[in-house]
Amino acid sequence: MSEIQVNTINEYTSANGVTIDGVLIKDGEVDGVDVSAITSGSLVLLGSADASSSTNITFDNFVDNSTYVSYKLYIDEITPSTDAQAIYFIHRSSAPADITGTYYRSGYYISMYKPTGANSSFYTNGADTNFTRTATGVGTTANESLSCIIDIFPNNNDQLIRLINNNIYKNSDGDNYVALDASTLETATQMAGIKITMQSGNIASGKFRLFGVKG
Amino acid sequence: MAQSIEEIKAGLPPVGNSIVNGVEVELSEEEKEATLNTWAENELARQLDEEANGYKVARQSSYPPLAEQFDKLWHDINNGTLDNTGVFFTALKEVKDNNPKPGE
Repeated sequence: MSEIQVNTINEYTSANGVTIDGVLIKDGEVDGVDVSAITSGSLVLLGSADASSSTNITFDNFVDNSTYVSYKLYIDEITPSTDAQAIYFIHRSSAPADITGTYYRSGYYISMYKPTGANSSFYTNGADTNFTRTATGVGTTANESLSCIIDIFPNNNDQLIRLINNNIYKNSDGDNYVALDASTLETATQMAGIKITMQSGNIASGKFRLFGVKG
Repeated sequence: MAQSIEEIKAGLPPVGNSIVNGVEVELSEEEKEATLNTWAENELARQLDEEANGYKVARQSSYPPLAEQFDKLWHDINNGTLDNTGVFFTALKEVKDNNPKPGE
C-alpha cells in the first residue's frame, strides 16, 4: 500500500473534474450532487457517555438557546445494577447544581408482550419532588433494558422545562412495554443541563448521546 | 414486607463514579454516603409503594379484556342474572379475591 500526500489535486483535462475510485468531484459537486452550500446538519452531537457501574450520567451546561431550539437525548440499552428500578431525570442549572421543585408527569404504557396477560394504563397527575422519572421496574436479567429518545425543551423564554420521553423496554417481570412520559418543571432557574440516575443503585451500562437541534 | 433502611443499604452495590460531560469523576466519601442514603430511601419508598399499590397492578393485568367484560354483562342482562351470581360479577370477584387489597 502506498500513500499520496499532496496539498492540491487539480483536474488534468479542463472541465472534467477529478475522479477518485469512481466518484467524480467537480465544481462543488460530488457525483452530480451540489455539496458546496452545505454548512452542517441540523442535529449536532453535543455530548456522549457510556455508563459502566456509574452512579449518574450528567451533561452540564449544554443549553445554548441562541443556537438550538431543543435537544434530543438518545439512551440505548440502559440497565440498572439493582433490579426493578425506574430511571430518574434531574434538571441542572448553570452553577451547575440540581434544580429542585415539583416535577409533574403523565403518560401511558402499553404492553406488547406480557406472559400473564395484557397490562396497559394511562397515568395522570404524577408529581415527584426534585426529579422526574420513567419506566418503573427496569430489570437486571439479560435483555431487560430500556432504550429511549427524549426531547428536551429548556425554559428559554418562559419558566417551564418540558421533557417528552418515548421509550421501549423489558421490565423485571419479563414484560415488554412501549411507553410515553411527559414531564414539566416550572422554575425561574434557567435549565442548563440534565442528570440521569437510577431510582436506586448504579447505572450498570447504557449508551447516552446528546444532540442539539439547530433553530 | 418492606426491608429496613439498614437491610437495604447492605444489599446495595458500592456507589460508582459519576460521568460528567463524558469525564469520569470519583465522588468524595461524603457524596458516596449521601448517594447510598438516597438510594436506600428510594428503594424503601418503592417497596412500600409495592406493598400498598401492587394489588392494583396485579388486578389490572388479570381482569378480562373489556370486550369480554361487556359480553359477560350482555349475557347477564339477557339471562336475568345481573346480580352477584352473574358471570360478570363472579369473573371480576375472582380477580379481586386473588389479588386482595392490603388490610382486606
